[in-house]
Amino acid sequence: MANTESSTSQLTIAETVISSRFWLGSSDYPSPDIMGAAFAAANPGFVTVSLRRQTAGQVKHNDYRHRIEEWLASSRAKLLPNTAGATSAKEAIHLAVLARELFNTQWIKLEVIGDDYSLQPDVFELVAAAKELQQQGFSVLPYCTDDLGVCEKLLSLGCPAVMPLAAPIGTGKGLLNPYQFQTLRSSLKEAVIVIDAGIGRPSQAMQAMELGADAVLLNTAVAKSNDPVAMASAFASAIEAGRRAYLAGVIPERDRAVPSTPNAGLPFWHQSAP
Amino acid sequence: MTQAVIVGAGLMGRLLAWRLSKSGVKVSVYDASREDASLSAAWTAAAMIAPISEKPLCHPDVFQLGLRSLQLWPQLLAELQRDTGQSVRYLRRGTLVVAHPSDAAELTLFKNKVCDAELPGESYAVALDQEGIAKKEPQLSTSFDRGFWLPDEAQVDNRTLLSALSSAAEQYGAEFHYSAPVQFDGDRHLYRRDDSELTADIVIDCRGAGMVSRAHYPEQYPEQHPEKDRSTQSIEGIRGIRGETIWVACPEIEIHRPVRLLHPRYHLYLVPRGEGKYQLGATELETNDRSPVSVRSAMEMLSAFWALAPEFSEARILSMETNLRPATQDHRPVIIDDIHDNGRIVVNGLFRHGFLLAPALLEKLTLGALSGLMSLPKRSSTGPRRVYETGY
Repeated sequence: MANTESSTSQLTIAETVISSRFWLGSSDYPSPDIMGAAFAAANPGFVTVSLRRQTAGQVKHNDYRHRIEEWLASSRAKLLPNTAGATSAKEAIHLAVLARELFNTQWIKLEVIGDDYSLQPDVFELVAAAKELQQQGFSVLPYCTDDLGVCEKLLSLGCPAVMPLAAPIGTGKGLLNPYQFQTLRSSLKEAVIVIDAGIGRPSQAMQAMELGADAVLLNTAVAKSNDPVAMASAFASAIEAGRRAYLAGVIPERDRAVPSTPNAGLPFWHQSAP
Repeated sequence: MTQAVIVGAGLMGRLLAWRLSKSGVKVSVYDASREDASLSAAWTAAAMIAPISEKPLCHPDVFQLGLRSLQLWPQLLAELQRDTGQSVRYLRRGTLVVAHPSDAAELTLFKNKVCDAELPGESYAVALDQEGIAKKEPQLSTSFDRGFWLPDEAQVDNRTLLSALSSAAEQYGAEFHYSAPVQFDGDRHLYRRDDSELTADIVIDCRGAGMVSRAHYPEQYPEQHPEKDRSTQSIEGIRGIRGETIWVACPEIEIHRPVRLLHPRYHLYLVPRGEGKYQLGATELETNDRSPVSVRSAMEMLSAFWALAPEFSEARILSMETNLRPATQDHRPVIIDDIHDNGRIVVNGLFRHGFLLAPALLEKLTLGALSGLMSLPKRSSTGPRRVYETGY
């Protein structure tokens, strides 16, 4: 499916064309103006919004949200509400239903965390919530661990993509287990795999894309940088470059030097050979 | 005699009332809230004058204006004392910035954003180790092993200040009308009170979050919203950002200066308010909702008290308060000079920086748009414009 698409920018998820492989969060920007400019520089496929700590009335009477929606209306990006803050399937389902009513979208980034401090996914509650929400007609994009069994289970429930973490949320450590990610990529060839959380710098996003991630979702690395607009643009370039490299086919690593220019024919080449 | 109407008796409204009445203008101030229950963000604020602490979070212009305010506050308070005989507590002991060891990255982020090329020298922020922190604030939790001391920052007793400002203005003949909401007719650029037009040589609109168009009125809290109909009162892009704070009494502990606790998700501060009282805040939630403090916010703020110093576990909770900060889309304050076309000036968008910005904005206004108030204004064909556009 999506990962075999040759496009460097767009991909298809749940029969919907997503315009970009860079997905961006909407929290923690210095101001709405800077957020808008960062979105414009990123040209994101999805913009995520959190319902955490909001009552329905607060979301409705919220000029910041209106601003995001206005921006989305003028772009090709889609809104992706998330269930951040939920610690049980029940809570996550409640937030997802609330999000569908408020934002009129079937997309949901499903996030069920074990506790507020580590922010690591609770995969048991996650799978239970994913099952229920898929049955209710949502397009569930679950934030999960990089465990193959968990990803397979979520895909078998009908989730149109899985979103394993690169590293814990906000750590900026990049892909902590590239070996495991490659296992996911080679085992789940047809699946859409999005790297979500733990990306701190553009080179880390690029690495994930080179290894075959279909998209990268991040927030803090852009919003809390000294210049969010410039950083959004840097990530956009890195993600596109990583995708191009993946499609072009990266050469395998070797343990010994292999000259790119043949030595034969150079003076004394036979004397310097090892 | 020149007549001015000021709409909104918050910090900016009262400062202007004092300055204008003192310079011979006949001033009337209207405010929607009751005299003893101000809805002004300035009443709820912790009133820190902390440009360096705020630098990682604020627009560079706000930082520059804040540095100017830091210079202006002492002379402003001295003048106020001469006028009223009342002294307003001004705490100039700097700010302590700490983070839990597990959030040490926040201190690095803070350092990157504060100690950059624009701020040469170490004087703005002094790095402290565990011992250095304990020397400044011996009763703070010993778990903080790194931090910064920002020696120049200050904090003002906002509630005494607000009442001193209105007394001073009244001495010079200003009249204050409370429980007196004013409607703005956006089509005709008129301000009305009880269906009659307010006439004056100039109207200065300092309504803060009272200007927000999409206000949220949970029906169960009617007392939070005395002014219901604000449909045509907005200027574009002003929104309210909810903030919640908690006051406690804890005479057993002595913390001498504001302490900022850096955290990936919250901007928390603890401010000593004198007589064993402390204020901790503040949440920052994107909603125009004035309803009382939520359980979650209360829990988070109370746990921050405990984390800052375990002695706070026996503190007594005095009050929990909510208010709205008026913010623009770029989080810079806005001054709109519409004197020539409609005889009004709008000052708004002071966001979380009211006390940081007000003296510098007052100076801009008195030297700029308001300087000609006693003489005839020059005609201009430019129409209303945002006059505050660039740095100080």
